[in-house]
Amino acid sequence: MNTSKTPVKLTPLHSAAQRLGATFIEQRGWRIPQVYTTLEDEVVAAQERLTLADETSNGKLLLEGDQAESVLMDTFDLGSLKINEGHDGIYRLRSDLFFISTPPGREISIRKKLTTASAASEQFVTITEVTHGRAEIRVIGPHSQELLSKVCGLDFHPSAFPNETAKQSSLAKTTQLIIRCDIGELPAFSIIGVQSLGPYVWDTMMEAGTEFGVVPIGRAALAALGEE
Amino acid sequence: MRTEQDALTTTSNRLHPKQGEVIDRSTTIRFTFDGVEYTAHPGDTVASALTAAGVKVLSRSFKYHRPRGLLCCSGHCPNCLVQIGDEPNVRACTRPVEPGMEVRAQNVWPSLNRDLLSLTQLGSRFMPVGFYYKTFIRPQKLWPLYEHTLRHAAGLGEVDIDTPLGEFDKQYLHTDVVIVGGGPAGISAALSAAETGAQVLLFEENPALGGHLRFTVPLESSSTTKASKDLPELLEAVDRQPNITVFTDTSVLGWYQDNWLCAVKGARLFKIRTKSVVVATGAYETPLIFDNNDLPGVMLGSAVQRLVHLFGVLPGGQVVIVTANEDGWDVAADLQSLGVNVAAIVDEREPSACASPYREGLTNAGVPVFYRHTILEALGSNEVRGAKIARLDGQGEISLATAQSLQCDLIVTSMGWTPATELAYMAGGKSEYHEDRAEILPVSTPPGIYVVGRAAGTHAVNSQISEAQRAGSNAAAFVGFGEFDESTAYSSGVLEPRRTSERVCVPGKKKQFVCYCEDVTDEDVETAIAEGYDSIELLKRYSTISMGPCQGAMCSMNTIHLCARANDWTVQETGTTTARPPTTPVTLGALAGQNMEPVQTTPIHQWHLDHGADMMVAGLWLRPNHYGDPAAEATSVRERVGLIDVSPLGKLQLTGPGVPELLERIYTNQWDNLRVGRVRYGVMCNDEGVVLNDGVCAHVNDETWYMTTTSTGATTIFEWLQWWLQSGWGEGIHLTDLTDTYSAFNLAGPQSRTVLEKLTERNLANKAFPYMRLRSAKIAGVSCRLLRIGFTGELSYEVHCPSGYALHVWEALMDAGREFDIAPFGVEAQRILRLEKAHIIVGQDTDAMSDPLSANMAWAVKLDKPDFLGKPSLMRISAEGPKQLLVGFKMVEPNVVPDEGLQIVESEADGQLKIVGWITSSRFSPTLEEAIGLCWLPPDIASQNGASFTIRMDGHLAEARVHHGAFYDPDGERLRM
Amino acid sequence: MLLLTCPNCGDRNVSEFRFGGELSSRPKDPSALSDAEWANYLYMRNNVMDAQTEWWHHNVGCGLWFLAERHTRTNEVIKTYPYVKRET
Repeated sequence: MNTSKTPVKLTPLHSAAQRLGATFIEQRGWRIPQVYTTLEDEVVAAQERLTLADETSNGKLLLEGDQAESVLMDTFDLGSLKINEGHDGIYRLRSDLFFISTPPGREISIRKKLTTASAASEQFVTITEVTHGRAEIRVIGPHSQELLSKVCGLDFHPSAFPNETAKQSSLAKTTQLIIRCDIGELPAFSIIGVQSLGPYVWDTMMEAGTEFGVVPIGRAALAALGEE
Repeated sequence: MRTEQDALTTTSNRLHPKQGEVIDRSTTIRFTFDGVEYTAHPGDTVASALTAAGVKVLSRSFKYHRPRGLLCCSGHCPNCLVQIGDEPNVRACTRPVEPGMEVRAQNVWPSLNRDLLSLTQLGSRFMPVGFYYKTFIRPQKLWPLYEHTLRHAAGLGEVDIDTPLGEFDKQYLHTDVVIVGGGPAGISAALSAAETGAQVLLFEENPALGGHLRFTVPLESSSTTKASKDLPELLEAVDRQPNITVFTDTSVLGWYQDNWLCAVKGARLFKIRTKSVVVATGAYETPLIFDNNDLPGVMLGSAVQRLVHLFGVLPGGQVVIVTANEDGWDVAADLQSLGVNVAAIVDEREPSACASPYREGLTNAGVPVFYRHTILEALGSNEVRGAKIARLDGQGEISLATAQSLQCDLIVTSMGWTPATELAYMAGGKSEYHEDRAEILPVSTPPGIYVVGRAAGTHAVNSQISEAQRAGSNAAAFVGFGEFDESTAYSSGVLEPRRTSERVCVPGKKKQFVCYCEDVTDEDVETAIAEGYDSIELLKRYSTISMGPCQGAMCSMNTIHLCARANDWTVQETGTTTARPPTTPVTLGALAGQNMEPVQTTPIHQWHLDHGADMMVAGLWLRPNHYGDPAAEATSVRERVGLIDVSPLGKLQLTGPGVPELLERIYTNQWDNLRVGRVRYGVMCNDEGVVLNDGVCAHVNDETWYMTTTSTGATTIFEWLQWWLQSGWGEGIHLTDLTDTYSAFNLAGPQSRTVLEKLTERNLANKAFPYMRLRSAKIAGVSCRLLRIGFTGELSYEVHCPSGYALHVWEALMDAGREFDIAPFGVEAQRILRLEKAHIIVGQDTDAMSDPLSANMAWAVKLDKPDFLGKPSLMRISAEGPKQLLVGFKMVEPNVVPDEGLQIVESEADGQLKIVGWITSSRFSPTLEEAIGLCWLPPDIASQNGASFTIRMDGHLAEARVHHGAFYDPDGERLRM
Repeated sequence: MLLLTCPNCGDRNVSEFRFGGELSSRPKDPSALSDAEWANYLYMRNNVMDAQTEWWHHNVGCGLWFLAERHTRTNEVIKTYPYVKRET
């Protein structure tokens, strides 16, 4: 048997990042952009303008079933969530469907926990990992809302789309899950959709963001901004 | 006529600097018009700069190529349409001059001032109304010639197909209240609405807020004095109000259902969702129809005021004012105070009807005033040299004996206003003709839609403001902010003096234009009505009136009057044409916006590109069609081993105890006996018995199944399954789309097992892992699902790996296969390989009429199952017998490959050819070295192996023979090796 | 553009949805149907000019198939609600 190379996970935006001159690091088996230009420039761009980051390596789980909520409440210290509401990375998409976003790698343990809880409850609940199936593009910066208003018909005003809200809608003519996840005071959204459309959505948002001076940022800038 | 040198030096039409002007005189910029250089100041429009330089003719008319000059100066009429660089049909009166701009006149040949095509007006009796419908129709075969000639002569501007893509985009806006129009009414409505806490978007098509207050004169005794002084205050209040967002240079193009508005600002299109709308769009000044009324130098009063006050430009030195209201007197006073020689005021009213505050002053200054007079004709050939006027008798008829000519170089008409109410009517508003006002005004609007200001017939500024404040509060209250003001009925300015004359046309003997866009004359309108196109909607379509760039702004009211008169109807009886978007022309680029055509790529897209793949579009997917030589790729698979990226395959996960019953219902074959670890092929039909999709489904573990669908059918089948699950068959079933979670590669060929064995510890021996089985295995260290299936007809493994590992697994497979000369293969090679096996492709070999019994898949249909989708229809088809069968064929001449889609024909007794079938797939088989294919044939031919039939090729017929079964390895031994 | 209220996601532009035809359901025992009855189920629609109950799918959204009562002349959507399987 020949396994000369250690398996490495690439995100659907890997080629785009290479073209944009990223340097990469490996984290939890994923090769992800560390920095594109300089850490300082990227942080300033996020704080003052508009940036896009590849966060595909975040773990993603779907939990489906009429009893999904009770399984979740048994597993985590979680109150009831309304549809489109979220808390601590758990978002309710339908009465019987939840989307769980985890830091890279954490999806394994969370999935185990949920599987155990669901088995114990003897309820019909399906837990599916879709980390590899969904590209996740983080839009960060004061112009986030304006950028999204160019590609999506939803109302992104904070009164209509508060922090920790998740909505599925049409973005650049594709179906995307849009989650508002501010970094402190800094407006930020996660755009999550099938990975095969990831490069297209990335390119489309980069083009639409030109007028705001959009730049890509890497893991280093995300960490500096307080996202780990 | 000026020389080119003059143009650069003469600025005699420029007034001294005055307050309110928008030009920056400290800077001078240069641009060209038809190759001649001119100067301008920043803030100038192309038209204001050209007018300052004394240029009067800006374009040639659409049909007769008559010279045309500035008319409305507000971006509504077609007279100043020019070409700027590669952009056609730009309105010179609103487009700011930029340094170095190259402006050209349109529709001229060979030049603006000597247009040979203007000779068409000599033969204008050959270009009657309905010209397009009457002429160039027969003989039909000459149409290409006609079209070529017409395209040269007609149309405006030049489209350069080499122009690079412009940068257009769109933006969605959401708000509580939209105010359309930023004049005193619009501003006041916005302020009142915003004060309640509502979010307000205020749209203004001009570069600045203020509406007519920007260019009307604030003289002592004027009725507009107070408000004009208030304009800076209004603007300041808007600035201070955080709930108002102002969009200038933005035209609202249309209203659509549920308060969805469309607006355009330059290269950006806005799609606006609001909860209420205030229409404060003002009014268009209505031109008067008289002989040669299109002569350059005939202008609307408001156009002159714009030129004078915004740009400091005088369009003439000696002016005749033709009017029927106080607005004309305002213009006269304005011009006179600037030292212009007002040659005459020609007012159609009795002296007693004139209430202008300037009357005394102008009379005392010796300005000749002709009451009860009107204009007969504009005199001059290329531009105005004089005006012929005449007295009106007691009945209001023209007394020709009193005709006299006055010398002038500018004729100003101020005859009345057409309220700009298109948006209100698009939204469902109703209107009535007010005879006392001679205006068609709104009488009711749907809830949440308000009309104010001149659009509602309110001209006095103070009335406009109070009316708009009420409407603004109501618009906000409609959304839930503040209280309703009950006095909402349309007053339609009943207390105001009449501003609009019913005399829209002074009969004469020369050309009189109703419609400047399409060169429609009053005579054309009468002819059209005489020919039976008497209703206003028919008249519009037949004459093309109001269908040009002005979209009715200049012509709709006049046409209604002419139509009413010719039919002897009242204006109310005549009615109006339906208001439709766009209210003003919009570039196709703005409608298209940023290019957003979704493209799906697999995780190893870049690898394909790096290895010379020729990519093809399949649905939204980009897939390698081949890497250079598809026949060689197919041969690699037959003889050695190949690898294809089949990641676009639909991959659905079904979990739960209800799944077996669902599979029984949605597939035509049997499923409830599929054991864990097994894979089965299945066909899905709808209830008509039509084949929707095919693929395999694997039983993964107790309660998990893994279904694949065709690449292009994945989304449709997912939605189809969602429908059945959510409409009653979903008990105990969860469905998840894993199409993107797994990438899939098919490793095919006699060496595929050997290659795969290098990468896994899993026992791949035929006994341990036979055909149509599923196994999980680590491949190159990555947990994968392996499906042993064979679309290509060779031993093959479909490797499904988590997409993040796709490149790793793909490269590991390619590395492992190198010693066996592995080749990546594309869709084309796969199509050859499957055709050699006579495997069908749903959607290629089947269509929306194909059932599986006829499509050679009867083996996959179990009509003895209790029920499944399509069964009742298939039972009936089975009983009646298929009408056509899908079957393989070989060509008699082995090198002739008939195109897909060609007809299969039979000779009838009379020698005619009858179509009896068609080709769905055909290729040259590199393995068999002959042409093969699939086709639909009548059962009597299809059922005989070797039966010959005829294909209609391009210009000749070719013979082919029916072939039953697979062309290659008919017993399927290679799959099971 | 028409606004449609997805029972799950709320008001959305109609372009996020796919029309699914007027409400009809598959016969319980198709094998018992005459040719005419089966053809009726497959091809005949009421096509009323009135309020009509119809299927809509939030396909560019949450994936819910739901019912809308819509007036076919005015296009007014009277209400939308999730489908609930009736026990028989």
